[in-house]
Amino acid sequence: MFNSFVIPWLSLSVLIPLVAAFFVGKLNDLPRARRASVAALAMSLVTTLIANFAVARHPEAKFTEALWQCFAIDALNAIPLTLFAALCLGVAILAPKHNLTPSWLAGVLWLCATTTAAYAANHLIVFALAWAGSLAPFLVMRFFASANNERTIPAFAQRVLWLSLICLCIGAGLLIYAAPDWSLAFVRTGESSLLFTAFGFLMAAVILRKGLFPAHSWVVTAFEHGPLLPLVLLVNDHLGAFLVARIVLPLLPDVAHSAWPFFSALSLFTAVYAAVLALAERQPRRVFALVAISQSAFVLTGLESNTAVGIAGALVLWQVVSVATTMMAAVYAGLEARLGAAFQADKFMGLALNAPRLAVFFAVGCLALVGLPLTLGFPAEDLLLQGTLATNPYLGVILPIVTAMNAFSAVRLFARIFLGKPVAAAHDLADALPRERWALTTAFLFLVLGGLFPSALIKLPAIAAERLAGKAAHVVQSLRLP
Amino acid sequence: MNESLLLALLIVLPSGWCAVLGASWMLGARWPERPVARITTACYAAVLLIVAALWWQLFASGKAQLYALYGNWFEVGHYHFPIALWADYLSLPLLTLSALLTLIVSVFSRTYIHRDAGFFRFFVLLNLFGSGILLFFAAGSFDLMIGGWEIVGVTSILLIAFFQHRDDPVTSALRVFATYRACDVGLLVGVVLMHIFVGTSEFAEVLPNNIAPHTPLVGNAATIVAFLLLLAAMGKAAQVPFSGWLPRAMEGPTPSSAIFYGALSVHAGAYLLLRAQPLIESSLLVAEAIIAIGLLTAIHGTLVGRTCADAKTGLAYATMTQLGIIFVEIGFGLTRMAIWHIVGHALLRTMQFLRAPSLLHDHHRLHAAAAGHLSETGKHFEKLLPPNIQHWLYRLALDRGHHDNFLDRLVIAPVVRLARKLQRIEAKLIGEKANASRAPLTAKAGLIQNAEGADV
Repeated sequence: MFNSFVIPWLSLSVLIPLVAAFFVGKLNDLPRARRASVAALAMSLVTTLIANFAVARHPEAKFTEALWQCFAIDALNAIPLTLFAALCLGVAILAPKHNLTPSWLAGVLWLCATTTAAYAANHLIVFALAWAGSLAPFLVMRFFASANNERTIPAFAQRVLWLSLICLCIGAGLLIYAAPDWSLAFVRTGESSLLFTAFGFLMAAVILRKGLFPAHSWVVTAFEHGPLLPLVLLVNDHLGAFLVARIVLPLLPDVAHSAWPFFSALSLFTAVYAAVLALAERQPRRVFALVAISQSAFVLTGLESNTAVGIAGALVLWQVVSVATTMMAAVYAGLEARLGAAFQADKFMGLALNAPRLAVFFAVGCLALVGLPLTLGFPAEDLLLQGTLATNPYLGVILPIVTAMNAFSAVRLFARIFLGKPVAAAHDLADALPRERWALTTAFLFLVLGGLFPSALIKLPAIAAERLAGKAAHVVQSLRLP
Repeated sequence: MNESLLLALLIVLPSGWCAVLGASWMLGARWPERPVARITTACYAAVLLIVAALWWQLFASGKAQLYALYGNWFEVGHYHFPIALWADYLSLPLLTLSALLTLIVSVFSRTYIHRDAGFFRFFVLLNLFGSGILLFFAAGSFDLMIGGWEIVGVTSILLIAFFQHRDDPVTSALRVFATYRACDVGLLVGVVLMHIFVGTSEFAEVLPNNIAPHTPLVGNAATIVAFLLLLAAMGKAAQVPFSGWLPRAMEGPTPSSAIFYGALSVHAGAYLLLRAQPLIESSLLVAEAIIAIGLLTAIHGTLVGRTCADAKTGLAYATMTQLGIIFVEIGFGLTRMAIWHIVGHALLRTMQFLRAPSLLHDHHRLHAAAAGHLSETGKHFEKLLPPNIQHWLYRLALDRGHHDNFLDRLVIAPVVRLARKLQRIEAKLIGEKANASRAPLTAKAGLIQNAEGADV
């Protein structure tokens, strides 16, 4: 079922932050730049919310814009669109003044615009352009580069991201060559070598961008040396997983079906590998990166489970990982800015004594990330476990073991930062500032209320999951036919 | 009032009060001590009345259980997570115990934690624990039990690290958390397997009832699920070889030690096994394993308990011994005896834990009352053993059965060593300086540490 918006809400959600990025980047006054960014991101959030409401009313429908068919919204991308706009707004509010520049805020606006465009893309070329655009601040633009830093992120991470972009372009190019048109609406069956090659390149792009083994190191290195909050936004766009759900699964179902065991095993191995590394890691930013990689890998594991329950679990876990890691990163960045060089969390720092609210926000983020009850992480893990264990028992058994390891690493990180004998620098530490309190409370409520009443947040992912699983089941059935 | 409303109120009252406390703190409100403690006490008094009403309804109706289904928490396709509460002759004694002991501890803590900087935090966590344990005992499905189980676990960790300005309680809390999480894997996988084998985890469908007198889970499926649930129960009930966390948990404030490790939390594992009794009955192997584990734990507990120098640790090992015996009773299928044992043991141990800070005072009073002739107990058993065995056992007990050393050396250290090796390989490959220290590993204070003393 296709419906169309008379007002181009999706285009507005892309154009508002895009225009604001150019405007904000030229400002010299930081408070004004922050106000302008927050206003633009809030407007973008409102437009995505309006589009989201339309989908919530007709969850089976796909909405395009009456003016042009460039963007579309349905049950799959409705929540990610709104969520990412909200995350960017949160980051713009929470970013500590330390090292903050109008250009930095312009970078967040740019990321919001390009990622929103990628989620809403209804054409392969738009998607590829938006994917490239979301990488631009880390590869060619200098939004997030500090004065004494030549590069935004280390060269190694840049090389991996370039490679992911090249793979995507080749994969998309091959698909376009094979397609009757450029839209994302056609379905191809039959294993031609061209489609198989396209699939290979697209999956290589996913592996590189999502940081699956052996490409996980770029995330860890970038988190350690790069700007934390923009990087968290980059990782939390989950465009790799979205590429799988939006393009690979519906367009190449038969090729995907034959290759899934390999990619499923790879994403599970990444989860295990990152969790083991996190156990021995002492550098907090690296621990954070490894836990985020490990938990994010489950998103792909769920998508590849071919069951509605597993896919829905993956889509809900996507929301949880995004909000929880952004919340934790915001608290961490705030503490780094407050304490400067004194912030060395390789031993107990005891910061909860003077910053109890920040401690609570960080703890809730940790607990949600590893699927503990009273948070949205619990239903997400439950669905994921039910979905994966039903199709692959080994996979389903490893999942809770890895989650347990990640839980230990995350809680140990929390303990090191907030508990124990307070360090000298902790004595005059300020707790959550009003702007931090409101933004973090919103994330807190999303995770906790989402955990108590998860139906609302699971409804749309469940519909999208049933659609994707239905297509996968159709392929399995067709392959069984003589 | 109907049973649905009563069962719902049982969970809503403490969790609602906990939410009010938490939300008001987040909004910046500062509560005086007295209303926090009094409302908590009133809340659990109300819960106790509700439990009494449930007892009355159960007797009056003549049913085997009270059951309320509130719909699905969430659903995807054919899978749904039902919210069902359940009260029967197994859960009601434990619900009564939970309400009563939380009430007693809230009254005791009013003066015990008076003017402590963490007074408010303690009561928030006590209410969270109360909600979790009531949810666990009143759950009508194994799915919902996981929720209560995990809430109890998290609260337990936060209360062990209650004195957060010292490093040792935090290190102990991390160790306990690691043990809990490792064993909780059993519960998670076990319950998911139940869904896969029989399509549900609701008691009404998994456990024998009036319509279906036998559990649908039989044979290998029942054995696998029962073994996984046993793993979870072993962790929570501090059974060998996961017993090392219990003495560490004594770092928390005494009232929390009383309610968690003397009364309710440690018995959650036994309750889980009692709930899964029909599965255990269908598998002799599991029953034998439970008996063996229980016996080993009881011997370990009584042995180590004799060498403990402080009151709370001694009580922890005494608890461990009784829990071992309860496991043996469950293994033999003595369900009713196990329930009475749990109730009696929880009440006695709570009293002992709450009196532990006044132990010397009590001892002096007793000593005076006995006119200075207090005889030592238990020595007649020890004298039956040859002296060299006595010495060997003493050394074994002094090192707490070497359990922690075994776990550290055989499980934790190899994983950490592997992780460090991988880190170095990666660092070489991408041309970075390896982050992990090359210092040799030693086990100290419950966390693996390197020789420089920095925990990893």
